[in-house]
Amino acid sequence: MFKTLRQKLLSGYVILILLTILSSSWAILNFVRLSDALAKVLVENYRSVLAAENMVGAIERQDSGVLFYLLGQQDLGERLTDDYQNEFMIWFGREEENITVFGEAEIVAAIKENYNEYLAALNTLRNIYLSQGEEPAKAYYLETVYPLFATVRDECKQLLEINHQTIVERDSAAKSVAQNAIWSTVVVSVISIGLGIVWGMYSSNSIVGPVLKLTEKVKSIAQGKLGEKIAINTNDEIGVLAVEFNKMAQSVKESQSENIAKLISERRKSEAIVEEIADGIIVVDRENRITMVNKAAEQIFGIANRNVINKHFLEVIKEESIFLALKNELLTDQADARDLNDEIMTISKMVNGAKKHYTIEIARTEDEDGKIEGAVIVLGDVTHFKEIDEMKSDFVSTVSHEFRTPLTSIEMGIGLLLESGIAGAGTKEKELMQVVDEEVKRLKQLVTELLDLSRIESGKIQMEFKLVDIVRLVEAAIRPFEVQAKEKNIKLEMKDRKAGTIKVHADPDKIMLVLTNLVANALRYTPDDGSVKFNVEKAGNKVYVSVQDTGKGIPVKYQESIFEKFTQVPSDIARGGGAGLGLAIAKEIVKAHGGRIWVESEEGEGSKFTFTLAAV
Amino acid sequence: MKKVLVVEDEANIRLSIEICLEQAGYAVITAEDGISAVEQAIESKPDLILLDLILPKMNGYLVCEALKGETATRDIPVVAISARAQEGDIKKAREAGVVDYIVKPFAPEELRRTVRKYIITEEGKE
Repeated sequence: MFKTLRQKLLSGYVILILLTILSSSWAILNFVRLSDALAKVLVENYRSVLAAENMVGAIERQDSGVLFYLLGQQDLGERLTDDYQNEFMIWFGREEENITVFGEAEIVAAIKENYNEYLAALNTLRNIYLSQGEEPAKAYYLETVYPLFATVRDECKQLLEINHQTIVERDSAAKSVAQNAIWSTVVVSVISIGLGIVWGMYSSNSIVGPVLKLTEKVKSIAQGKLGEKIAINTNDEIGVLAVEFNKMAQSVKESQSENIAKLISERRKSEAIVEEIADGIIVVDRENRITMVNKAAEQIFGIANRNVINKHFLEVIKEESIFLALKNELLTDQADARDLNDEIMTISKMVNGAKKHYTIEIARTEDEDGKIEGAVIVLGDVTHFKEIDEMKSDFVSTVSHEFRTPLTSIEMGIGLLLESGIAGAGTKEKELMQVVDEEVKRLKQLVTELLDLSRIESGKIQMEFKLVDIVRLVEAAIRPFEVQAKEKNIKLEMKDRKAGTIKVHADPDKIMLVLTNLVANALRYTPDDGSVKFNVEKAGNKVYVSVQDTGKGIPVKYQESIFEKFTQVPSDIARGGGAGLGLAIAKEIVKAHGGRIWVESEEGEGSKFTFTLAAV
Repeated sequence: MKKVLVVEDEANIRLSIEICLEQAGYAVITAEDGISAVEQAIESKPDLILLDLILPKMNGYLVCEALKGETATRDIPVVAISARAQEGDIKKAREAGVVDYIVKPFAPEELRRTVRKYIITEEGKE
């Protein structure tokens, strides 16, 4: 019917306006009618009544005048008659103009006729009086004048009566009209109100109804029931909105199911990955109850996912160490940076009859607000690495053992031969045997260093940190070499320092090894008459220990690589001894102390080896 | 003459130890494995036992414990010889009851010095 909401609303208003106009018009009409009625009464009838009354008065006065005339008062009488004749004429004139009632015209005509006769009779009376005298005049009066007077007077009274009657009638009529007006206005108003209400309800329903329906459907869509369509059939704006809304709900539904399908597929993928991962995964909640274990974890601990869900961690995984680490992770308030020196926790378990090793990593999970939700424990299978590690150390042990055994025989044999001598052995033979002896010692050193290095590298050697007086340690390291230095006339000098000790945090035995190696190298590579200077200096929170020789120096390109295994500076001046492991071991030891070791050197200028330790 | 029991499974090493000690004036008896070591010790009651810790059949530690368990051999000083030189090995050996520990390879003088240290002569320690 109406296309748009605007039209509907406007139509409502228009109708209300029309109804208002209708009621008002009706009321106005009635007011006008009433006013007319009243006007009639006032204007017309009242005028006639007034005229008639005055006419009666006037003619009675005239009659009084005639009587005065007859009584001898001619002047007065004539005056009265004349005056009041004027009066009568005036009022008659007014009445003549005001003929409104039915029958009034005839009465007026009759009055006119009779009055004219009366006036004529008055004239005649005067003439008679003047010619015949008083008595005939009186007789004439009584015979003709008075009846005429009476007739006119009665006719005037009739006039009066007829108008009066009309007034009464018209008053009634007016009253009826008013009554009607009231009733009809009430009726029309009631009808208007009724129509107004009906129309109001209809139009508001036709607008609000669809809006409510729309709201209901939107609510249910918001709750997720995307399948419901909005059935609104109007063609107005609400209808359009409903159509668009249906479209939107449809497309949301489609994309939602698409997304759900994607999510499900992603989740399945993740679940499959987690299930099949070789590392064991255990997920716990805030209260350390297990929420999930994957296949690998099931195998490691010999449990089944369905049996352990919601059980407390310790009930199922009887490993105190892991539980303590878990509690730690869940209780710390901030994300602590892991101390770099922390060892990664490992455990070993028998799984299907084989011994396996696992690293333990624990990470807590948080929700969007940063509140702790739980934790994920990952067991990394490092059995392979551990086995390799063990193989390596077994290998090194075995190798060193295997070397040491024949070396024993050789060292013993040569030693005994050198002591007792062989019959017929000259100096050359003796020299040879000494060479063999030295080489044996060198091999011995090599094997020891190899073993040490291997163990340091795999972290097997424990550093025992103590408070050490580094100056004293350096002096102790130098002492065994004093004889050798003297033989070559090399000066061993400790640089002048302020008095007082310098303490460091170190493992004295290991640092002793480092120092011994550096001193031995210095002596080896310094020609006769040279010098080796030692210096210990504290700067900030570090202590710098340096050994400076006056040897050949080390070319820049070798200055880093000499700290690597088996690398020596190729040089024909290099005295024998050493296998190239010494500096590598020294580097590992210094590293384990958190320090650095390096060399400053120029060819022909000697070398200065420095390493750092943590000051106390 | 003082007697030394040498327990060592490697023939070459046994030979050189024997020669070395004999030259130093000791009587030397040898054993190749743990079981015969204990037997020999009970039988000949040496003044010192040189014990290799890595032996077939019965390892050195057990041999030592066995020796210390036997009244006959309890008081004989035992010096361990071994290619291993770890603190752990040394500690274990001391716990088993050895009085000293020589690391292979060693020179003849080192061997002699150690033996002299622990062999008690009639006049007391030399």
